[in-house]
Amino acid sequence: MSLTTLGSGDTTARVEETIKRRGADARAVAMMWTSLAAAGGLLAVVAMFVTWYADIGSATAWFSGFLPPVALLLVLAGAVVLVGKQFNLFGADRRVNSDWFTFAIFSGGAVLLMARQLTRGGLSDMVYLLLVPLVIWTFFIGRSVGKPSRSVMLELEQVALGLATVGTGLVIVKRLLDPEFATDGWVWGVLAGVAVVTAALAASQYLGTLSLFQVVLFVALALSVIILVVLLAQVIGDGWPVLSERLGDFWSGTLRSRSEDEQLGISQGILGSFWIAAFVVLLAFPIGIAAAVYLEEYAPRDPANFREAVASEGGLWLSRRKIRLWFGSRLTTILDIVVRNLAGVPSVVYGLLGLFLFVKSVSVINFFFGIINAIFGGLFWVLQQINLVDGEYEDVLAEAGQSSLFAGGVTLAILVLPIVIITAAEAVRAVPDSLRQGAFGVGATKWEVIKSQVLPFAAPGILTGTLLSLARAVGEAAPLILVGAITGRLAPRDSMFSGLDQFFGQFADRFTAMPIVIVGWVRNSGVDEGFGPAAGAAIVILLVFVIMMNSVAVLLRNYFEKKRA
Amino acid sequence: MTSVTSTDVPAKGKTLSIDETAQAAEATTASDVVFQTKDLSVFYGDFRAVRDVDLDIHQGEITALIGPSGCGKSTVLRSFNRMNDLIPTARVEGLLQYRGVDLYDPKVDPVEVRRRIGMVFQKPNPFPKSIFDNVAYGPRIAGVKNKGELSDLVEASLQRAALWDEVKDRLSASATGMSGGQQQRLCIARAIASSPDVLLMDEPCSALDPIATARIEELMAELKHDYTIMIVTHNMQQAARVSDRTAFFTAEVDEQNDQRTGLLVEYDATTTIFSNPADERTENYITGRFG
Repeated sequence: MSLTTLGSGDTTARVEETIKRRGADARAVAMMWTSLAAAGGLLAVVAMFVTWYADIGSATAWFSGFLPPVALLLVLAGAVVLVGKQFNLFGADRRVNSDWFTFAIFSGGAVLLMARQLTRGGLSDMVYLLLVPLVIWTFFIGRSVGKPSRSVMLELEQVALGLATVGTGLVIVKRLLDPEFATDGWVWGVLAGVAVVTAALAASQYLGTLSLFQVVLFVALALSVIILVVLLAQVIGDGWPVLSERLGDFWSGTLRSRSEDEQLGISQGILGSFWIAAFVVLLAFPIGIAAAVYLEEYAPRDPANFREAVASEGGLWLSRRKIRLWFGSRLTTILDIVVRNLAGVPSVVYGLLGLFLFVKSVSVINFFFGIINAIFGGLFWVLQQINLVDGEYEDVLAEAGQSSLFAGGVTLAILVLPIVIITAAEAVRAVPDSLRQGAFGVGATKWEVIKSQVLPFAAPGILTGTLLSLARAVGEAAPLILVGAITGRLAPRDSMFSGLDQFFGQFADRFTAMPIVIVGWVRNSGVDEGFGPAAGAAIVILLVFVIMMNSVAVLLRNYFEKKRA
Repeated sequence: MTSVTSTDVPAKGKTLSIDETAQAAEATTASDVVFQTKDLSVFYGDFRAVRDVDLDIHQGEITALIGPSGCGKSTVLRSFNRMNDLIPTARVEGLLQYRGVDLYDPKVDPVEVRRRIGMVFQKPNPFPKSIFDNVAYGPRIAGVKNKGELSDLVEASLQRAALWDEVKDRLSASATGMSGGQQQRLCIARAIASSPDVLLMDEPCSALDPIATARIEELMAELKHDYTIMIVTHNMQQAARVSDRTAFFTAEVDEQNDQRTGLLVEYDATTTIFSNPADERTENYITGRFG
């Protein structure tokens, strides 16, 4: 501490003293940067209000009247608490609670502000969002520079916070000087949200509530939530006219060439997506789960078996057992690698595969349709014998060489198959070995162990993974475009329940799906503006379905986990 | 160990029923020896984990396997019901007979072996199912479908495991909610329910407190009237308390490749081992002078 200590010959004390000083240095830097970040964030919020009140007259949203004052109150309250804490106005003992209180108030205010700003719409000024990756990037560098000392970490972290603050501040200054600049409010909303959250987190780290790592996690979470909220609000805003005025007609309508058409709607897209989902459930799920169980439970893995066989039989003798063991363990490794790589193949490539295999390749498609025709023909014959149907069965799936619902469904099933395998294999791998041993120990066979212990225990994980992959298949557009889904106009079919021929016939017929409908409408909206709201509404409906699917996945997971506990 | 798949697929041809062959063998040998091993070695790949084990395990007795860590006690125990088959690289050499039948004969089905020779593991491993379903698991896979018969079996097994009074009102409750000692007794009940001939216990009390340990030890004394029991334990007092015979294993270190191979040092009546051991290494170990 004192000069005499530093000058003395005691090395240990000197090293300790140096560490202390380095710590004090770091704390000072941290304090300055966090204060700056917090101040910058507050400044951003205040500036937003100033500019808002300047053009409040032109705002039309129903909540534009009372939202800004409420948000302002919240943010001011948060600021008072924050400043008060700096000077210990509330006493030190209620520190943790009041930190969370501050954080809650700040984020509440920020969310309200953003909601207000989002109603302005528009996609310009995206460039200022570059600040977001910049912040993430700086954090990333900070964490990955070898194993930096505590003080270096602190400095890098403060640099990140500072960058965010300075960036926001620059935008604000520019706005204040130039009223024409960045009049689209939602960019401001994002920036302010980021600034406020970052500042609040920086403050709570400075006050000692959160560790650096927690702050990084919270910032990452806040960024993703903010971006998601922005996108959602944008889409809902776009589709609102359709959703609020003619949802029923929109639901039952079909693809049309003009947006003013009263019958414009998504029923064909919904039906196509439903059948694609059915193909995925019927093809990819059973095959994928079975493949995962094979890979994890049965596939020979250990090359040591082969070495042992060589040791016991001699290396030169080429026995069947040695061939099997060598090939077996290598094959498993190769299969593992192939599956993992397939999961990373771009979906367009699967579209090409589907195009050549199920659309262009007449012999392949005839093979599959032949099987289906045989099954259906047999069924038809039986029903005819018991006088349930009249007439002759014609091969309804005889047409080959054109785009079909069958091709689309099978292509997407193949697309998600590797994902299903990987997630299911991971769930199976997570089953504790003690369960397997316990079951083997009372004389269960391998399949009994898998059926009664492994699969029930892995069920939550398998279900979550498979349902998430189903959501992916339903949202996938690129492969369907290649396989030839219809984007323009598709003549409505008769009801699929009007006869068995109709029911099976639709699989050989041309088709469309929700993502394809959206792509088509978005493209047409350049020529015919009315397609814009329709596309927005279709996106919202697709999102609702995907979110429902994911919720079902979560509920099922919780249910099975409860059951297994 | 013939191949990876031998865990559930018996070799082609007629699978020998252990019962039939055991009866035939009993008629000729007429002894109370349940297991007989001669020059038994267990390998993991090229590595020999245990060598030259000669043991005669007697009917209706508790045999304890003791020794320092890494001397292959558990490995030997697990080779008695072919649990080692589950480790792909494991392999057994030498003779291991169960009532006159070579356990590693290609015609012997390991699933049948494990049904006859039950096992209790170091860490209690109840299935994440109800208490009833845990105990009924073995009988069910063995084909018992009748509900009344099943519940009789479950009750009898839980009573034998001294657990019935504690759980009879909550048979449908999850087994994972029980205490550690209860879970281990449930695992014993689960093993008993398959009506095995032998019970192998691999350090069954190492995860339990002294009270639960005492209960398990009492239980073993009860069970030995009906089952032949083999127990691996690190606790020498436990071996001295519960067992009739004790086998002492130790490990020798091969300086060249730094591998430890276990071997059987001495096998005798427990009283002899603990009062008057023949081998110096045994004496050093039980008196605590072993490093």
